[in-house]
Amino acid sequence: MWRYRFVLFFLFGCFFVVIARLFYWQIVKADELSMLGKSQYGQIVTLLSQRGEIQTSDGFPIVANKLSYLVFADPKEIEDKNKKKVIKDLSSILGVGSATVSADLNKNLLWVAVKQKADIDKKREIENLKIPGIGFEKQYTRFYPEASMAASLIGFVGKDSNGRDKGYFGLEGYYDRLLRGEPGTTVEIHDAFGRPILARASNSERVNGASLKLSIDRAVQFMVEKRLKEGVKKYGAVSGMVGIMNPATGAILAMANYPSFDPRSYQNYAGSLYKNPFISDVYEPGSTFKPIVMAGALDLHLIKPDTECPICGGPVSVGGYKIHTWNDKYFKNTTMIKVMQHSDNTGMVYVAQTLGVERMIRQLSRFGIGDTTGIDLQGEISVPLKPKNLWYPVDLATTGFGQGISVTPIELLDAVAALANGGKRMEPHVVSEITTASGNIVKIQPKVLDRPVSKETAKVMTEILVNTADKGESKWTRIKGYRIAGKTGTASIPIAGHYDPTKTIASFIGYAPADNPKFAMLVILDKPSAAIYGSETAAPIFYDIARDLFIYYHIAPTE
Amino acid sequence: MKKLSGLFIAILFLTIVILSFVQVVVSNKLSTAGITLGKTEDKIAALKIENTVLLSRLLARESLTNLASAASSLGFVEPKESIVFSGSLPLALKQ
Repeated sequence: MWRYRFVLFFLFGCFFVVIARLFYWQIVKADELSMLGKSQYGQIVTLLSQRGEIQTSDGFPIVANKLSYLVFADPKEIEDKNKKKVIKDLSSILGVGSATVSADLNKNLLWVAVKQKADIDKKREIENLKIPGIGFEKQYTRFYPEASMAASLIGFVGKDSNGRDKGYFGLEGYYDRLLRGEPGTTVEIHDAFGRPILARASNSERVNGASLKLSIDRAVQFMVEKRLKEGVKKYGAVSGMVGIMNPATGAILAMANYPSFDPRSYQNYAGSLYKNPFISDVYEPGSTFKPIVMAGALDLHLIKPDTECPICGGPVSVGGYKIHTWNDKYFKNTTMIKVMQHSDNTGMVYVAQTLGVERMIRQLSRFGIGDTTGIDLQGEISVPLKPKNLWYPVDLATTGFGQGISVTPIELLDAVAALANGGKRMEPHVVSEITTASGNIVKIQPKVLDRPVSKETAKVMTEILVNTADKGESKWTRIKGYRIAGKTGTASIPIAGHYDPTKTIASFIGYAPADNPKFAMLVILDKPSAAIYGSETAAPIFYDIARDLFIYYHIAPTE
Repeated sequence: MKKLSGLFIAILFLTIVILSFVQVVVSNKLSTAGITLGKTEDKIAALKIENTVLLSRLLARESLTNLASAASSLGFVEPKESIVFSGSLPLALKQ
């Protein structure tokens, strides 16, 4: 009997082993074997995905994709007697040094990359030479039809640690996950002669990246970049930047920096040029900050436009420091309207002292000072406001006229744009629409961040700024017939604990038309040498651009 | 009954012969279609490449940078100021 049982268990054991082995091959190793099988009659082909386009508000792709090729070689296939000629040909066609090509082709390898991103004409030229051992791999690379336009706003596409495309800085960095797609694979089935056969094969779908439509107006951006470049050169500035925003929606219409870089060859530029200084650099804004402080005090009814300044007859002493006006001219009992018109520092000390530290912090915070604006660009920073107990009397006084406090240009533009928008502060944004690979369109809605001042205060402040633009230091450059609210700024630059008297940051901030603003604009010049004042450098650039915008938007004069 | 089963076997046999023939024809057709398929795929790929290249050229030509330099070389100049018509209307309004 035991013999039957033994045979029975033995057979069961054998079956179990067979079943276990079948399970291993058919379940555990199924995918691997399937791929191995397919590779015998088919070829696995990678389906390249395309990174999403970036379009300006008119639908023009300011960043698109173009087909390019990776040129590679198998050095072992190139005969020694031909090598010299091959090196010469490749070097001249691809624009790569012959020493580099020679070093590549003399490597003891089966595959070497000779040149990335070679365009199709170069590929065809090389193909015509029929060099054995030279191959091409298709790839998509970024194409910039408008060359370096809005470069620091857009950013660039480089490689990550795994050699895959990755967006850095600006929009490419901020929206990288949306813009980049996922490549897919498919199996092309062939017959014994290598000819393709009509057959179904398993695919992993490729997903193209989503496209972005910007609020940036290409024509405005073009005009602004041109004016800024001319201005920086004319006034001998180290650099300059301009930001233009629609105050009603927070949409950025243009943002330009000079000097900038070319995203096609970003490697050839200093890394410091990659970041967008409009969102990534802080500076002491000087007098362009005065409208915010004064609007805060007006809104709390602590002052009125005709309030007289009791301390403006001469320099003001605060905490052991003497505060002067920018031209050492003093106006006794001057009104708040005149304080702004003359850009009177002593008058602003009075306003700041009237506000006091606590209210100053509260009002500035409501204007978004000390916080990031939330703009959809990579690299935005902010310097938080100091806590109340760290404010010395002199800090309060200097904050009144925009010194001793650091902001980013976008922070300041957004705050002043709130005055243009009836007191409502909007979230600045660059992207207006996102189109997914499947064609779904997501519209970015304007977002109200805060209401720092009432509509009435915004209106009063606008009138004060219109008067300032018309009768202040920059009146010589104003555009007749238009009501423009504006304020100049000449900020000293803190260097090693003191202010450098010879170097300034000249700026002008404003909006127009004052009664129904279509744009708010900030112009900043870093260390202009032709003149140090904002009224003589940044203001003319502001008005030149404003003149262009009036024509472009068909805005007629009202006076 | 015997007659019926004989007829059934004959139909079955005929079906098998016809289907085998169809398979031979279809397989034969498919095996040569590979060449056409290959050529079509090559053509599609070439056209796609051509489209991409043409689009790149078109965009480069449409760019404002290019248009501005072309306009300048043709003698166009930027308007220094705009002309605004204001004041009374040139036509009598109906009262």
